Amino acid sequence: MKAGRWFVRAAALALPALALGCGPGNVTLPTPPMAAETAALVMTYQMPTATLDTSSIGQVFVDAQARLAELHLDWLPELLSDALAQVRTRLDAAGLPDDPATEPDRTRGQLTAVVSVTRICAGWSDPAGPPDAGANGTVEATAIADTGKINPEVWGTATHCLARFPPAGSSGPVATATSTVVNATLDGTLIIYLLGPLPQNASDAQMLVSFSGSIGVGDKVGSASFDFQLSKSTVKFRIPVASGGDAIVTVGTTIGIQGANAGFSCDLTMLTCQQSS
Amino acid sequence: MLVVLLVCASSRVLAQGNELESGAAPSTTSSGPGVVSPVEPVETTTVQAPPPVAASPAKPVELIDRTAYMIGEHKLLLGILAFEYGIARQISIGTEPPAWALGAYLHIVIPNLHLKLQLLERDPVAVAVQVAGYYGTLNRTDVTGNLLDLPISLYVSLKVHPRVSLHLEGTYVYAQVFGTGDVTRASLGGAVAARSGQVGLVGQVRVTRIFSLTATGRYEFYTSDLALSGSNTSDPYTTATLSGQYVPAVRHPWEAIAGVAFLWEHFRLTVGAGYGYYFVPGMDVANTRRTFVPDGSIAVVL
Repeated sequence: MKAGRWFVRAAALALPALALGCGPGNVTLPTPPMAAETAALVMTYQMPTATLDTSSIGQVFVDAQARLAELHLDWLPELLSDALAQVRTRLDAAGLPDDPATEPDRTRGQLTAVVSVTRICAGWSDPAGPPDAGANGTVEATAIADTGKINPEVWGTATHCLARFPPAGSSGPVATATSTVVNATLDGTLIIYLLGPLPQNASDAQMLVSFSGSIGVGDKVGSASFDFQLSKSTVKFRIPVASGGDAIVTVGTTIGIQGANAGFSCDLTMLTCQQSS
Repeated sequence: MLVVLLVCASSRVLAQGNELESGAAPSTTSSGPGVVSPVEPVETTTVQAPPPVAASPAKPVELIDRTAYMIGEHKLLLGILAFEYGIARQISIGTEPPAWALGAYLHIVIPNLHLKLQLLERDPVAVAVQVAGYYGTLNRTDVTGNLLDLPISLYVSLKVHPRVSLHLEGTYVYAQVFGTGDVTRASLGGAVAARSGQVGLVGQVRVTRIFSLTATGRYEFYTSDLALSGSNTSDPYTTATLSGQYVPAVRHPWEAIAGVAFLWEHFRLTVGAGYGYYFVPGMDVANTRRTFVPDGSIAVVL
């Protein structure tokens, strides 16, 4: 009788202590890298800071064409969209919104979480057998949600990622749209600021991409640091102007260059620019 | 089936209970015929017989559920909400059939056991502690998982008036869900853990020896975030991990119930109705929506 009493007393004290040690603990959300700088970059795309005039626009146009070649827009957006689509899949499975603009329903419980996705790159030949992270590299992406609201900044690291575009074995519209096979290499830090929902594919991506590292095609790999903005197949990128500030270049059938004071439309075949605003 | 058995058994014990309720009538004796005394005067002494001893009223049956009172030594309670056996006067062990029966509807069987120990019974105060454990296994084609629920309760019962009792309760609940599939909705191969602290109060007004009015209140004063983590490999190239916490929309669920209790020696019936966030009996896990809260129990004591 006495032993039973002490057994229960001991159990009553011990079980809560054991329970406190069980299961996962509360998560501490990481701070997105360079959050202030990224926010400033978003503002620059909305309000360019460079002062443009007819005397300098020619040089800006030349610089823009050079920068356009460095952005690898023929394959990089697709690689990033593919990784972000995986993040979206996990967020959807967790019942989290995939759009930073979505306000959570406060009458329901909310999730605060860190989602990390590691995607092994397929390599240039996508050999048979299990994926080989050591040989073909990886892309890691991290997204956070705070009380049901996804943070617009998603960041990641590409580690010696080898990817082929179009992917080996693909026969869809992407494969036919790309005239030549691209064997790409990506190694560096990526910051992605979502301007809309997480994409399901490259065509509906709305994001600002900032990259710093080495990037290239085939054997031509070099250091690069750039940023560009995708908005449903419309590409914009930033270019510093010698007189100070940044101009924003819009890629289309013509090249649009927007400064703080004026906008120009430049013809890629005639290599001439005219003030448009 | 169980209810039918209980009702059949109760009809017998009710009869016994009613007899007990009437109490043992004091035995009456009749004196014999008178005796003729001789004519001569005789000095006599009168001795007054002591008054007949009145039978002490039977002790009223106490509420067992969510109070510090016990079922009693070697007594067995069979109810729709709980089976309870008194190992000793101050120790009982039991289980809750509804949790076992969930398997028929929710594809989850929850074996459970509780142990109750009375630490003190000295009128007008009684103190008891109860430790319970529920372990559920969910097995379906798309989901497999386990549920662990550990409520630990302290009960203090106070007789503030011969007809009025207050039964206070403090409960700590640790619950964890872990498994594969969308058990956690957040991840595959994940886990969710939660802790809560609750207080409860049952006010009991004894109208007659067997009939009581009850008022029950329950309040969850502490609710932890539901910590969760998990990982998933959606295809050979992609591995996703998730760690976080779920913040419940209702931090402090509560319920309030008014009811009646019929407490015979061998038959117990409680019925009540209220409003609030329904707490699953025994497991003490609150519903997330405010609704009508039913309350009821029927049991026989052997």
